Amino acid sequence: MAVNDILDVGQRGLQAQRQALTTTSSNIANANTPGYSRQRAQLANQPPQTVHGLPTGSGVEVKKVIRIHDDFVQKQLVDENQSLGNVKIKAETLSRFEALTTQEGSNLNDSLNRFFNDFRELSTNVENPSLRNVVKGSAESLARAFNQMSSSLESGRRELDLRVGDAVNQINIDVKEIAELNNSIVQAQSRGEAPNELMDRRDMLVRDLSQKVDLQVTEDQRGQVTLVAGNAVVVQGADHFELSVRRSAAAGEKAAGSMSIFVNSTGVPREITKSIKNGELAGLMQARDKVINPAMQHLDKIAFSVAQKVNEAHSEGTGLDGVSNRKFFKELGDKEEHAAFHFGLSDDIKQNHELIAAGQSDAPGDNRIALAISEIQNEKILPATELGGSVNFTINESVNNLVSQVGVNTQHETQMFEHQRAIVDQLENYRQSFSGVNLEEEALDMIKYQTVFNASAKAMKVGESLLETILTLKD
Amino acid sequence: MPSRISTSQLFSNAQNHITTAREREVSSATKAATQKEVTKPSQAPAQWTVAANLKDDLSIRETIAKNAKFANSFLTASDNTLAQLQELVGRTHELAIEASGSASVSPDQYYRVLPEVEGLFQNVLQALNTEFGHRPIFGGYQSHQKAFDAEGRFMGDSGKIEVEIDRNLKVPVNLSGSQIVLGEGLQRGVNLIDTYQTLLSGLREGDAEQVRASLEGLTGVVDQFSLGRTQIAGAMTEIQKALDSHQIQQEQGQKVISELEDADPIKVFSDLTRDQTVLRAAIETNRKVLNEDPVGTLLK
Repeated sequence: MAVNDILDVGQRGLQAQRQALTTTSSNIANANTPGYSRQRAQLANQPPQTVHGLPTGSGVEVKKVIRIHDDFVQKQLVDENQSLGNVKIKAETLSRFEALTTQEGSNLNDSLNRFFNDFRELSTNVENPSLRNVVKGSAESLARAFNQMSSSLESGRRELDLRVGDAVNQINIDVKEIAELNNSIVQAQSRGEAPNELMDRRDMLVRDLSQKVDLQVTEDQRGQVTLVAGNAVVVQGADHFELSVRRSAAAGEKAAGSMSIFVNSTGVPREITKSIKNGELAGLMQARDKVINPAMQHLDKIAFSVAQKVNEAHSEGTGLDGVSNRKFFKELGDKEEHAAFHFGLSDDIKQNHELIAAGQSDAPGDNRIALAISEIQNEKILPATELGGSVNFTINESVNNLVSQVGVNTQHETQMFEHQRAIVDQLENYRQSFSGVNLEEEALDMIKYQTVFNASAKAMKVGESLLETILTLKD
Repeated sequence: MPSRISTSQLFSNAQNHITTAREREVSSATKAATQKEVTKPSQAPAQWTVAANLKDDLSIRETIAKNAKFANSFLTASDNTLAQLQELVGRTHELAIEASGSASVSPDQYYRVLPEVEGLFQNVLQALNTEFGHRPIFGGYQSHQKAFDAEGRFMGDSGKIEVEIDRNLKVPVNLSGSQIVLGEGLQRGVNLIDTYQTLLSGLREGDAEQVRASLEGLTGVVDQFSLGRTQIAGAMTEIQKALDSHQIQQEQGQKVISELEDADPIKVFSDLTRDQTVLRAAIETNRKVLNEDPVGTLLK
């Protein structure tokens, strides 16, 4: 073995330790980087040389820089994130929605109580014109309460539709970047580079994307992932297929004009709404279709029944002008849809409170109609279909059921969210534990590599000294 | 197996511990500040619904109780009027007996009685036009005018004014003049006005037969009034029962609402103290863990 070999081995040692130190420094720098997986320089001794028939070591090299990553945890996270995204968005949305319905529902019930109680008071003193005015005022308040609650629910539905659009835009941004990363990963590998950072970034995007939409992920041998959202391929190799939203006709629980999801993979948009069952996107549509829409229908049913029942009773009465067969509330036709939004006083009553029919006859003390209207509040006129029972409810009970049904859904989704968050936290903890950077470890590695780096430099110094000694011998 | 802890885990764990402890502290503080265990339906949907339904029931009962008290006052006024009428008719009956007491009554005797009977009749008419809250109590639905005119003609109708005194329970609060005064619709009903007219005519014309004929009518009217007062007493008993029931429902309802919604102060404050201690412990523990600097020590 030539003395030069000692210098070569030393040099390789310096290079390897420097590279390992660079990897360690990079780990330290990325300790807080989301999605970063720690890396390790994989050191390996060089194949030995045979000198004078004896195997002699020829130093060290960095075989590759590996990424400490657990595919199984990644897969579990992708699976569990879908449910987390779904229940998280529902819990958040319903919590806000619950606050709104509790406030508006309470306002509606107060208005209902005021309206019927004012009719009760009127029934004891029908001649009093100021009481008729009070009844008119409370009827206007009731109409406002119905209109306001209906508008709030409609705003909630529209907001969810907007968020469906936003979620789809975000998904499109993610799938585009994932497709680009797929391409970059293949190119890097073809150049013999380790695309660790690219894979970290892509894995993180896939995890994020899985919160937004239910996702099936498959990875091919070249390291490219194929993503299927719902039943539509959205990423295949370097290609991506964008989703789009479009308002569509009513279908099942979905109201007319609500957003539906389409995929543009063949040039002709194909609807995939029904196949999206998990993730934030599904959560938004489920909150819209399974909570807000039924609540709106429930509210419309209440408004329709109140208007219908009061009008029926009122039509049998006579106003102070002696005219009968007048409606108290605006006629809402024969459809319950949008009844709460259009709920209001009839033009006659709006213009003149003396036209309120308190009695069956035009006798000024006749209170039969006022009494009959006030008694509507005690009648169980609303079906309990939403609860699956056969017992009917009073108007107030039905409003309370509407609010409590939202409460039940909120409670359920919040509990599911807590449960799912615990699962994902545990998995994320495990991922962090396995792939995250530990600064103490890295500090020790730095000392370890620095020590060997220094020793390799020393070995070179010895080699140099040997060489010098040999050169001196020639003199 | 002891698990490996990455540096970012230390920070995220610290954040989780402190956030969780803070959330619990805020929740306890809200309960302590409001003294409410249930502030939104999702905390206890079934309890919330029961409380909400009870609150509506109490609101309705408040108005119904008010109306029941009104009905009670109306009936009391009617009863007082009937009592007054009984006295007036009773006195008239005495005078009629006095006038028709002997077999040979002179016209002078009739003339002596006549002015008082005429006065009593006017008092009767005045009593029959008694109003409660500007509404003649015997006028039925015709509340815009007197129940009887100066000649004793009935101006009202037979309308029955009902008032809701409990949920799904109504009682009539008025006795219509057509029934209680004119005797219409009653078995052996007597017309008070006709009876007086007969008596007055008898007294004016010195017709003993007419005076005697009115005696039976006057007795029948007093019985009629007694029957009316019995009806009033029955209705007032119903009302009192309803008012008692409202009182009980109000008290029980408030108690149940309180049990469903209100927080137990001792538990709330002990929970708050515990959560504040946990928060302080979480902050202090994480401060100690995060302040360690093994890297600095190792690389010194």
